[in-house]
Amino acid sequence: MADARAEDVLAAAKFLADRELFGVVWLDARMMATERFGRLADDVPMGVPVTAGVLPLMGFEDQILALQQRTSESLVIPNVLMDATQRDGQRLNIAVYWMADQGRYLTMFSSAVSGADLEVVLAAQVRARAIAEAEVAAKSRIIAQANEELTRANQDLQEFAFVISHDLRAPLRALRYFASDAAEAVAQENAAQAARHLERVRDQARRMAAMLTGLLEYSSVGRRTDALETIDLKALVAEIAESIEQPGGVRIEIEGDWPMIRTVAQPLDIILRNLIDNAVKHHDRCDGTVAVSCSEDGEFWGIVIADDGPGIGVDWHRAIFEPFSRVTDGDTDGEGAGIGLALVKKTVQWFGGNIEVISDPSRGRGTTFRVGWPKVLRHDGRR
Amino acid sequence: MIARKMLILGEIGVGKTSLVRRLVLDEMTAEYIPTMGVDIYRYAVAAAPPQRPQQIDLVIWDIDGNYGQSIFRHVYSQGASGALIVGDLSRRPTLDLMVGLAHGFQDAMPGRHFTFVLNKTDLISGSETAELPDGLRTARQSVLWTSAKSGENVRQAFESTADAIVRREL
Repeated sequence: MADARAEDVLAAAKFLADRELFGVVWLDARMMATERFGRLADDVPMGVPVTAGVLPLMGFEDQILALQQRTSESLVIPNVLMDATQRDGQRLNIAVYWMADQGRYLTMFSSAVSGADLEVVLAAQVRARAIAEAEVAAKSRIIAQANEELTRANQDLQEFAFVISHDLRAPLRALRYFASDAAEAVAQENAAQAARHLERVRDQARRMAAMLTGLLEYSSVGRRTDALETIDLKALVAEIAESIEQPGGVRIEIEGDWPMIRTVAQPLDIILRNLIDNAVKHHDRCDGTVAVSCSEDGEFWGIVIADDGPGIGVDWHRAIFEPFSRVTDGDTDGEGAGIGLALVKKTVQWFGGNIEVISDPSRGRGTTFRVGWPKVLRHDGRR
Repeated sequence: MIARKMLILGEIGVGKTSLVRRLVLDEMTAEYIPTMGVDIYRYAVAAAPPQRPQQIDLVIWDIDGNYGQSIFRHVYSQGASGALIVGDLSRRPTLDLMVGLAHGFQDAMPGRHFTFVLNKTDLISGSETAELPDGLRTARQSVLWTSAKSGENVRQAFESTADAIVRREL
């Protein structure tokens, strides 16, 4: 009976092996392949350590040796596509057992689940859906960002149109008057008068050209991509200070420690150059000081430009950041302040930073501009 | 000639299979076919003396990304000498997971080398400055930006990891 059972087992094994459902390889105690049986074992090289001849078993030398001490355990590596360069290759389970009574290993290769298995197909579909949903979410973010930029562009366009029609009207009107005066002087054959009026016409034309240049620069904020680079911030400020005319002895002092930062250099140069230049230009004393310093402020670098000049009235703190704003000191109706601070604010905000002005002439002299510049910028140079 | 086992780890759909098939077969398909279990590839890194005096055979285990951190308790990861940990630059959550996988790999296999691979550079602009999680931005490990689609840096990712494995005699 026992022999009959053994024959039955062998017959069953042959039946399964012929149908490529499993293969068996016997290994000696040194893991060398000595016999093999069944189609799935055909590719196992004989006479070499199985950990060298069977790719999935590479690296498992210690684990296989340890089975000789832990005889109730086995090494099972499931669901392996042994040669993935063949996409339709067979997926196998590999199991290694130590047969203590025989002093050798039994290695079995059996067919793993096929790709047609419903569970596998379902799992594949669930994953594909998860990935598709993630892609839709990513695209939605891109669309939302594009909408945000479109809204900003529309606002810029409206602002541009307003400035063109509003702030350029005054110099255009003046141009017309001076041209008319010049024509009258020519009609009266008064060459000297005509020349003076024509000089005024040229001045107005130059003023309009400067306004248009500033406006174009203002409009271009956010329209170009600046590359990130590592810069010595102190050196940048020093270079700016050196390039600015300091009439009448106004000193620019760079105080404290400054970091090396990874950022967009040109926009930051524009911001600091405008602020420092403004502080120098509007100082009312010949022994004045403009102090520039930097410190860490959470996610930002806090850059401070502080002068001991006349100050800016609190009522003007908002207006000074508008293009061509007209700041009066009560005595004179000055010309438009230009576009510098408007450009500064727009640039700072475009890159995710912030800016504030602190000044109150009714309490004391001085103006401080604080710029919060983000430490980390994104790939398009925007935080 | 020496042979070493290398793992490719990462969230599902980050391009693990695309990377290794670009390396081994120089091909890529747009169709997404998820890996189930593990697919094994063999790739010979040619000798390049003096920095690489002999050929290195990589046995690359392209593992189902659904295991997550549990992969380090799975038999698949045993015996590995090194790993590529892959993320998809167009899907930020997959980059966040890379750092966790790196910690898991270091805990399970101390002293083994791994390389961070940021894949799908072809899908984003300005690759060098994409916003990365802190663990990647400040990583002391190698970080390589790849595209399985174009082949950019794919061979470098595998070969540099192979060289590191041999250098450390793992």
